[in-house]
Amino acid sequence: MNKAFLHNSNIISPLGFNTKQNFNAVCEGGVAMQNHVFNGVTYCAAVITSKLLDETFVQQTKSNPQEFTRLEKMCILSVQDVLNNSDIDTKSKRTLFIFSTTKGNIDLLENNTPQIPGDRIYLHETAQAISAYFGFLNKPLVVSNACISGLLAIIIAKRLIADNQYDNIIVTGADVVSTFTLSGFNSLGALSNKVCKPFDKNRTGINLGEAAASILISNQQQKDGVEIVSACSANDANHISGPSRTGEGLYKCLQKILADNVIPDFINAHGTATEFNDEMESIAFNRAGLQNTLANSLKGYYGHTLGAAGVLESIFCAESLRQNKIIASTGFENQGTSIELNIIKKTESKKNKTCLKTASGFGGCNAAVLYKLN
Amino acid sequence: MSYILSHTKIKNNCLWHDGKLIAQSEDTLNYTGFLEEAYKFLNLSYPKFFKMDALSKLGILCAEPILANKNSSQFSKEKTAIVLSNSNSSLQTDIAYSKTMSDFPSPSLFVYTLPNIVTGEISIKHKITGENAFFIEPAFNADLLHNYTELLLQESDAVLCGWLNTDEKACEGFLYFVAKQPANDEKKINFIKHNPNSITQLYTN
Amino acid sequence: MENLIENLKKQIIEQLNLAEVKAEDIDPSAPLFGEGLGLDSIDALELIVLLEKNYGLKIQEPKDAKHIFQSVKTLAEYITSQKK
Repeated sequence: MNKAFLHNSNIISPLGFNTKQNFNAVCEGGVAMQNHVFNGVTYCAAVITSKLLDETFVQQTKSNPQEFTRLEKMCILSVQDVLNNSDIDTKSKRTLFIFSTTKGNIDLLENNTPQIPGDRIYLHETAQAISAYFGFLNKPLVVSNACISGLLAIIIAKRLIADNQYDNIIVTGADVVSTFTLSGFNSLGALSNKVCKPFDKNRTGINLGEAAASILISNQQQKDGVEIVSACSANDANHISGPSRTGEGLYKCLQKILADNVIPDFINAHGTATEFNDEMESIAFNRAGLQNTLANSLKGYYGHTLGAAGVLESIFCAESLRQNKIIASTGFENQGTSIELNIIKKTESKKNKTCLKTASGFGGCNAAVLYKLN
Repeated sequence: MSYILSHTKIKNNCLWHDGKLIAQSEDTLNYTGFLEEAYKFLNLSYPKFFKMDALSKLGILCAEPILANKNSSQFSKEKTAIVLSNSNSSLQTDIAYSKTMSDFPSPSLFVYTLPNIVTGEISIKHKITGENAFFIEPAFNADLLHNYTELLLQESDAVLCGWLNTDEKACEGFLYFVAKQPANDEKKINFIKHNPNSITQLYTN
Repeated sequence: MENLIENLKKQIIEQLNLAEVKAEDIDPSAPLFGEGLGLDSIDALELIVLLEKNYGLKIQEPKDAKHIFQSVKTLAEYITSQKK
């Protein structure tokens, strides 16, 4: 069984176009959400400036920005950055590209894009367009499993590497903000009209955010390598859009991956800032004996980036471990869950060896991964 | 060694279980009508069915004969995984939802605009709480399903796998149940070995 | 009021996809949530849509609507009260 490690990464978001820019911005308290108007309605969301995206795309790829969708441009820039900083051969049989997204190019349903073939509404076509750009030999693997997609894609990569099927896997998670998702979450009463406040007493819901995040997962050990130690997914079998009130699925994952009563140094939670998710996570963490473990959510900085979340937030886990930092759970002021958690209030230096990343999603799915710094 | 213990198929207004035709409707009936007839034929008493979109109805109907079967029910539901795939994700429902967007966005449609909701519906009805994965592929991919299922069987006891796809005119469902060892040693001879060839044969026959 | 209650029953059945339920089976005073029709949180959101679509009435928070959505009768009473 080979071990799997997190290596180079990239984040394309309103806070920057590489991991370093994003990490620094967040350490300085930068928040990606602002008010934006979609179809005549104002939403608090994290949106990348289209002009900047297109200009950067032209500059870095010399390709025609009209021939790719917003999502594809974000992904291409993201994968390109990872490849530029790695020594991997996309044409190798031992290299794989895994794409995680919940809605792909769903904005094609709303926008008039004559230069983009209609079949790019299909997620496998989107993945293929990105894959073909880089000449990956192997067909891309596409994971679409609601909000755990990104973390699940990392878990699948770990399993494939452990089984010695690949040496290098690039996992890219991405989703765009669109009228589709904004109106949809709004119809569920899930959106906050202000910057969201994960775990806070006065939280009123999520903000949507867009991002593309890519990470190279490899069987190669490296200085500052972050190992994917253990991973699990599980279903609540309770409700299709609300989490189990007792956190059954998430707790099951935690029991499995925290073998021998391992207590991670910190937790990066899913923390969407809905009443039910944050409450459920607090209950699951408590059941697993983690109520005193330092914990944060990054969604107060980025909003909920759906298919990108698991990857983007895992990159932050890895960087926090490497840079000996814990990051404040921005938006949190007062305890808002029935179980009091040890929410990180200030970004500061702290040596860490391990961290836990969790995610939950519609359809009752949950996932958790334990990362360890070498 | 792992085996396929049971399988179902829905195509062209027909429902098969383990190779036997168990429900059929007129060709002229649209597939959504067939799904409702199949529900009645299976004698399901599950009102939530009518709130589901076509993809979830398809999954519930394909899963029912398999999971109500003695062979599959012997396995721990906590250690049963669900690995599904399709080419169209939830596109039909996405389009239906988008038509409500400008006037009165429908929350009951929006909740079905993710392909893995069908996994959730099957999990809820049958209390299955193991691993999940949903893959989007251009066409049915036996190699992918076989590969990932075998990886999961290192820790799961059983996996419900398959393909559930809907488009404007038709739907296609193919689910099968894989386990690490036959439930009953005497009947081992009747179980199909789990490999990409046998999966493809079951899918195409 | 009678007419409104009968219309509401049909609209609820249609909007909420209660295919196996007949209008005559719905007791106007029976609880809509929990027992009775056993509606859930997504149904509550669809009832909010129904009120706006069919009656032009807007409810901002599902929580505020608990007493309005208690039964078909309370729903009808709310609609009638808003017409004044």
